[in-house]
Amino acid sequence: MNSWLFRARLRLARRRAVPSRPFRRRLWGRLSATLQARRVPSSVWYRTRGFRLAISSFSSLAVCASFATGAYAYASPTVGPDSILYPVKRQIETVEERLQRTPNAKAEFYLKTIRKRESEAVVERIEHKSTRMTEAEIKSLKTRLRTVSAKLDRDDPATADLEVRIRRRLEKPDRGPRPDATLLKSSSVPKDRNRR
Amino acid sequence: MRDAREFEAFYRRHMDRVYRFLFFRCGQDRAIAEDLTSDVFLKALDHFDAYDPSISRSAWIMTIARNHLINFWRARKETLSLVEEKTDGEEAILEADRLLLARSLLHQSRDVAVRELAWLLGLLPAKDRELVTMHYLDGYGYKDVAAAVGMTETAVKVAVHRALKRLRSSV
Repeated sequence: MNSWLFRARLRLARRRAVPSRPFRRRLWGRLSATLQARRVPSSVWYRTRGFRLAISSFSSLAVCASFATGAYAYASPTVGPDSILYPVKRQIETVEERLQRTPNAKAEFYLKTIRKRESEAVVERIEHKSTRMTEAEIKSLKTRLRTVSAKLDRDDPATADLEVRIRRRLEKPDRGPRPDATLLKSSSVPKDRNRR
Repeated sequence: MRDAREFEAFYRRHMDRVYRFLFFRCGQDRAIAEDLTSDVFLKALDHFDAYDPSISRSAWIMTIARNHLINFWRARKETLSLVEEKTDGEEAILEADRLLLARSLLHQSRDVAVRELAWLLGLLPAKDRELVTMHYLDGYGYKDVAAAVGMTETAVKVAVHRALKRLRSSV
């Protein structure tokens, strides 16, 4: 027998030895039943596409909401020491302060923050709240501004203007401006209090 | 437990080959081959976490099938004394394979052509017979045979070609 015939016979024997269709179906039925009984992870709820989509949408929404809250807390003068968003505001400001590398940039940051604290103090006065904490904060910022103003970069042409602004700010009294009469009218102050 | 789809793909890939492997070694009895195939796949499902296709796609399931077949013959009191006397694992497996294949093809087949085939296979050395059987009878590609026996694909091709050449010259 030549090798071609030998190989042909082997292949013929192989073709005859094929599992029947009913057997295939029966066996796969048994195996899939076993798989289902064991709760294969692909069929469990937390691996479904819908659940993953819901999780990713929820996470994106949560991230957007966090950014929006942070931006509001940072920018709004109505977020004062008694607000629940005040710690968020302070944290953002701490990070911003650390990011200012030069004395000039630090001074600009303190000027801006003092302005923000003064706006907050105005709102507090309109709403007849205590301004003690805000004023203490302004005092502390002014101290830091005074320290940093000694280290300003004199070679920078913008420093002269900055020095003028610092001087003006430091000369101002610690207590902020009195609330505007128009602001008082539109505020939510009880009427009997105004009469008094 | 890994993904059900992964197991389904595995089942579809290996079903025919496992059945064929068992069929030719259990006396070409369809009922017995079907029973053994079912048992092998249920065992595979039990231990599917241990299966790593990157190591070898077929060696894992073939080892389960071979061990199950040996247990089957052992349970039928047709002791494989030769196998049990051997100390070396690989040699014992090859010897078991030879005995099972010879018993099935040579002694339990009424077809003269199949008996002749068994006689011809018996002329080959154990290692060559394993390669020829895996490729031509069980239907494995050279790549799968190479992974199962720990050789390169080219080495398997050369070994099979030489085995057939030797067979032709000896006959």
